Amino acid sequence: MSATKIHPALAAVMESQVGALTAGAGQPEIKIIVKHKPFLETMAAAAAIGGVVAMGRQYSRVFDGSSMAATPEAIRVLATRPDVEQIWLDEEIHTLLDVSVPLIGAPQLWSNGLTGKGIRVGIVDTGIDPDHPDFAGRISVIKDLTGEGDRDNNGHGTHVAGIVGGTGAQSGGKYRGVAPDCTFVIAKVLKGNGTGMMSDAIAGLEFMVDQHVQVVNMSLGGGSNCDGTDALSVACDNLWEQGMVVCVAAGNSGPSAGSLGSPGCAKNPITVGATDKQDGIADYSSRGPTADGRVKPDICFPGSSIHSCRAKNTALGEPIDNYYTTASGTSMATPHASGASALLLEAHPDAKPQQIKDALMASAKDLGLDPNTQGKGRADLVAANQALVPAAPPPVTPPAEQPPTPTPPPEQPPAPEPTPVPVPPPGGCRELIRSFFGG
Amino acid sequence: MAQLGQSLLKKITANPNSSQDSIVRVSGDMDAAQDKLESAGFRIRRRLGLIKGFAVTGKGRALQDLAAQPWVTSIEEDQQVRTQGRSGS
Repeated sequence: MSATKIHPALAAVMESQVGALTAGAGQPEIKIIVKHKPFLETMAAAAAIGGVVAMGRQYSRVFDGSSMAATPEAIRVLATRPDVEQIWLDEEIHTLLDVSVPLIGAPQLWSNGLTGKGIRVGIVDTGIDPDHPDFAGRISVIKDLTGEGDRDNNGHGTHVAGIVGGTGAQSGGKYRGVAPDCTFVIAKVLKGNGTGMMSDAIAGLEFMVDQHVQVVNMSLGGGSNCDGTDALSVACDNLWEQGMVVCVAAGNSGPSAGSLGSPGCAKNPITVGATDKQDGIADYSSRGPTADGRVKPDICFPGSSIHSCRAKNTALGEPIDNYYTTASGTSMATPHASGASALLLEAHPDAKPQQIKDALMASAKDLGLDPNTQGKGRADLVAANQALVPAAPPPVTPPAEQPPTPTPPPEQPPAPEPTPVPVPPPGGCRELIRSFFGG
Repeated sequence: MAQLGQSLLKKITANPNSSQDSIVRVSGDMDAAQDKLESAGFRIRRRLGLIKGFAVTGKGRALQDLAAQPWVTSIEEDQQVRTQGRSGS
């Protein structure tokens, strides 16, 4: 069907411009990229449609296609042509100096319209800078459980939140987080010096239940070599069983075996180890097994030298400017997992936490290391999203029938005359295009 | 008898009369458990329904007595937790 040839991101733009059309504005022009064959017939047709405003580039190495600007009506007509295979939005691209977000495949999900919109992500941490431009309009609530006040006096929580879902607005999109349209629910349980009580962290988790969040990020930890029966680990397990995806840091006590702390050793949550941007395991990333012999971490995300939001008047990490800083740790790996979970939940709203965890783990890139070092490997969001697509139902087997009475084969029709393929002029295809458009 | 967490047991053994911050998990009715804790001299800092427990402060000796109660399922130190970021790469 022609509708399926129009990529969802393009369809969304066309839909959004219906309003402008209704308001009496002229037909808008949308920049598109068309995959088509054969080349010349399609270009001639595009010119003949009348809604193609300008031609751009031609492609023949990566695929046969062209870029152009066209009205929505012209796009719909193009989509009906059998020689047009796909029509994409020619999107603005952003330089992404944060290597970690494209490394895990988040931009591919963005191009499918998945940005975490409508997903509530709880961050149990040092708070957040509510005035940072990258969170504008998306902080639902901040609850202080330390007695220090709402403000993030440390910077850690702000950095974590930026990784989960900062828009990158202050950097022109450069430092965009994994789920840049998610909604934040903030529980401040750690003070300005980065420490807090386990009981306050549990209270923060209870707050998340009251706030009906869907994903909870815990970039904090304590203790060592735990077996998952401590109060904080049990609280995380219970939160999971109430339907929330919980992502917890493995800890930074590696590389010794059995170096996980609470809640990294909790049974249900996604325990996240840290890789660097070359897919090596960070030395500091805590290793399993847990004290009761379970393999942990579950999966790894990038955690070293991560650029993200800086809270005002804080000096965490290595500041880039007033709005961004660079920090490392399983603290930084974990919010990549939380943002990833938000994207996957947006795509698959009926998925249970275990399904999200299983999809991430089953599709991770194996780094060839011991499971108690890497878990299942480094996450791949494109593959995880695909893993959550339900398998097609098996074909229905028709009931056995009596074999039909043999009939003589039908007469074969004569082979059709082949359609002559136009030969490009001496100047090549570009000359032909110019001749159509007078360029 | 409820098990006292290792780190808490060490502290209680060293200083049985000093105040300790603990997390106590209970069975049965939470309101009844809260009444019993307060009657035993513990200060309730937080009620933690998510784990059916309480964050309390009380003397080490009292915690040892508490561990013998059939309605108490576990007692552990209310440990410090911290951010898992670090300086350097």
